Amino acid sequence: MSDLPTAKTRPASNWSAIWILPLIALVIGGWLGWRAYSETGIDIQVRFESGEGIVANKTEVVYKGMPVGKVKTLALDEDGPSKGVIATVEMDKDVQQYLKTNTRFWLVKPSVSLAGITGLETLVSGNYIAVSPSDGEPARKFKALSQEPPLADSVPGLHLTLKADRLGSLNRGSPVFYKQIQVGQIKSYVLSEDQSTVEIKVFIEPTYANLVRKHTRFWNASGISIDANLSGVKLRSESLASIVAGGIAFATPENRKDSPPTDTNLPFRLYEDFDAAQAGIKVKVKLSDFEGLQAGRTPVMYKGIQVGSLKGLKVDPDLTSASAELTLDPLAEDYLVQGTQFWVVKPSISLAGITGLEALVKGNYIAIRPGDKGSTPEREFVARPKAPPLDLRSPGLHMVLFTENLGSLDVGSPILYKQVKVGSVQSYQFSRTKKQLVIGVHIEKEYENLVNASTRFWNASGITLSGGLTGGIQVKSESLQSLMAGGIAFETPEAKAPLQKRIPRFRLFTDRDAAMQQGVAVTIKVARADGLREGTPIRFKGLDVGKIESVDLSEDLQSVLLKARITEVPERIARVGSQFWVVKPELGLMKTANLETLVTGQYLEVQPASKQLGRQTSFVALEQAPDAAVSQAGLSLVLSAARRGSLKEGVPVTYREVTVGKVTGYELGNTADRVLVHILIEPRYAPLVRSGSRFWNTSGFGVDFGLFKGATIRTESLETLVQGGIAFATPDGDKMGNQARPEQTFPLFDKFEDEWLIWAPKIPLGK
Amino acid sequence: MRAIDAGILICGECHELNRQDPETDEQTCTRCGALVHARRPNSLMRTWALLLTSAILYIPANLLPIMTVNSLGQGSPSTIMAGVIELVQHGMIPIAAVVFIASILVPTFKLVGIALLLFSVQRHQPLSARQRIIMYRFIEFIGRWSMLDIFVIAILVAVVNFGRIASIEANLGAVAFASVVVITMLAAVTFDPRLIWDNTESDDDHE
Repeated sequence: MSDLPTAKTRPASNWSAIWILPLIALVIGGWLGWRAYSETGIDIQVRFESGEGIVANKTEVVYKGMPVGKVKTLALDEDGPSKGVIATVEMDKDVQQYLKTNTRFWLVKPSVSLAGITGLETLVSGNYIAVSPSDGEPARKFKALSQEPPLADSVPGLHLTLKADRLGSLNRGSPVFYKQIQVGQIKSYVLSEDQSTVEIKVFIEPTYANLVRKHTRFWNASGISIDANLSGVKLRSESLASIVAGGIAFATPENRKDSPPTDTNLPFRLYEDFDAAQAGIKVKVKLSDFEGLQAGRTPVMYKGIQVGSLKGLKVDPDLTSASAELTLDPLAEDYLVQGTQFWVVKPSISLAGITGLEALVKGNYIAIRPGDKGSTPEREFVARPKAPPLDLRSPGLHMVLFTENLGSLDVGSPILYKQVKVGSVQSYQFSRTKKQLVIGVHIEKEYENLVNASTRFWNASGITLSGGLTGGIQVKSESLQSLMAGGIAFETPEAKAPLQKRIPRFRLFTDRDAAMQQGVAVTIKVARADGLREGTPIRFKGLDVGKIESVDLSEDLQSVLLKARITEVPERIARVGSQFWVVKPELGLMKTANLETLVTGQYLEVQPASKQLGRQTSFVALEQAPDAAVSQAGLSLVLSAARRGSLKEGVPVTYREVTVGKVTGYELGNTADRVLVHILIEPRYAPLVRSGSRFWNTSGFGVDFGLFKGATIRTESLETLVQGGIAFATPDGDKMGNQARPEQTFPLFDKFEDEWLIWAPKIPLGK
Repeated sequence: MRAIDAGILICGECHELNRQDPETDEQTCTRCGALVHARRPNSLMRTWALLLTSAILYIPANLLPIMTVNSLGQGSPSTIMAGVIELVQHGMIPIAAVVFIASILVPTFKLVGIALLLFSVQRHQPLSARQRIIMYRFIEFIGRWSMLDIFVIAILVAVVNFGRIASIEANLGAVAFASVVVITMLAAVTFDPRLIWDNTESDDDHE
């Protein structure tokens, strides 16, 4: 078979395309294998106190919700005093860098409590191990925490410490609210070192960190606070979550908007509730009267607004006083200084009115009057026994009245002006000398200008009964209220009389009449006070010009001092030269005068000084009425006679049988050889007296008896016949002479010459 | 007596008998025009290659998670074996048995069986032709059942899709496993069963 074609030989292909498949598979497998290898985690050991809830191959390690490892095995840890469980955990390779000595592990279990539900996701997913990476050396063995660690301080945001008396229902993770928005949470809480407070660490998210200022106040917003009282029911809760879970809320007081940012090192106080946080300043007040006060209920009021409340009341060991702990509105912070006053207000019903009526309903409360802003701050006070007088700084007029006795006045008694209440009595106390009472009075602002320097106050209490023979009986009362409660009325005679001082001082008169007396107080010294008493009038020409206000013995007991008030033209009366004397009834043969004083009582007569010689308020009364001539207006002359005759004071001086003057007195001349008769010619008739005038005595009647003339009976008038009198005549022409000078002395003739009677000069009379 | 000995080639598609033309390398079916071979060229080689591929893929198929069951956000990837163990732990032993047989036993058996078949064909040992054909038939028969697991996964992925509450996703292990199944099936197809008798001592061993 040589012709057989040689078999074509092809080199046997060792390679077939099919072999690509295993290669691809190898590559894929290799890649998968490498990937599997690269994903192989790092085994670490975590020691747990208990393996409860940890399942091998199931329990994951979760960081920020992302699984980063898984428990592979669990083994008992025999070492150490307490046996634990060591979980071998396979961690993802890429978290290797976080596995440092300070990295913390803890088991997250579902926990359902009133404070909240945590780890809810673990209910379905099973427990997991949470991890919080930290710094340190690389490590492979860890000890698990028994519970979730607090938020690390390194987390951006604000980390604060709050100090609270009690934890309340707060818990880790409890929310922190600002205007009911959750802005943070509670990180952890521990007892303080002295075990008296709870320190709560709070984390505020960075977005809201600037909401916390230096004056920010935190309060426990847990639960619902129900405040029911007469003014309504107040229900307050931060949010439904905080009702269940507890929470903290905070706010910065309105008046502290500019508060600087907080210093995170300084702890804040955690107030028990919103109200406590609002009324945040603690103040201690020592109360002597603590009746009806209830800790936690009793409010602290300022002008009817609650500014705080009584937090605690502790009776002192001696049982006479109690120290109260108040918390006050932060608004009051600036005013809690020296001078701030506290007192207890309770209902008091008196004739002066009902005070503290609101306390009847609300219960007793503590009132506060702020001190002056800027004084030394103080936190401990002693309460006043009763309400203090009105604050001098309150608007209106503050003034002081002095009086001898209080009458039925009391704090709160009204000040009446035309029977309108314009103010009230704020206080009364003894003056420094204990002789007078000082009454503090406040006039409301709108009536402020009713009072000026000329204002006169009187006690309008009760009924004034004034009666007299002449005026009948008057019953006066300001108002029914003042009738019962007492009151002070005033009147302002002059519209413009500026007040002297910031706090004016006035005298409080006993009644209106006393008050309205104007004029000047004078003292008059008399030898005896027979018949003189308070109210005795001082008269001038029959008109009352003043009144005696008091009758006192002088210090040396030698005389009596009359205190009197000159109400009419005091500037004319109370001046040097004025004369006072007592007018008494005189009944005698010689003279009967002043009989009216038998009925009306004695009075003081005054003869005002004719010339202005300066003011004088202290006088010595004359024994008897002075010579009128000296003081009375008119031409005063002196007549020189041999005998007095029947002349006496008051007898008329006549010119052409017209009375133009009178005798004002008589006396012996210096040498006792003559009688000097003082006469006073009325000013109108003064020109009639000339140096050539002739005076003669017209007393009695003269009988000229002559053989040739018969008997001539002369008499001036019947009046002069009885009373006696002096007549004069002035010659005509050259003999008339000059006008008489005052005190010029003329001879008094016993009888006239006929020539005189025919003298008839024409003399113009004065006006 | 083999067809190749009688110079007859059988068309693999229309089963027409063609006389072998020794002149040509590539003979076509006289009836349908398909390529006809006495024996499939490089059958052993290809089968080996596919077998090797599937053997390699068999490793990740079993080691990598085949699917992840996400339930309420918590995913737990599981491999085939872990799934079986889990089923057993839940007391679902019949299902576990099915999964175990379909997913573990069958592919393993296929891999080993094909390897044994190839080995014995090449080395004439250690199996008789009869054993080999039984083996071959068995492998052909069970091959498709291995896809059961993949179907289950596919159905589960499609059906269990409740978003965050529960969802199932296939993992690379499923891909590898499916590849193993497909490639072993291909390997079984590539293997020319006529080779079983080529290397036997007598034709009628089985008779």
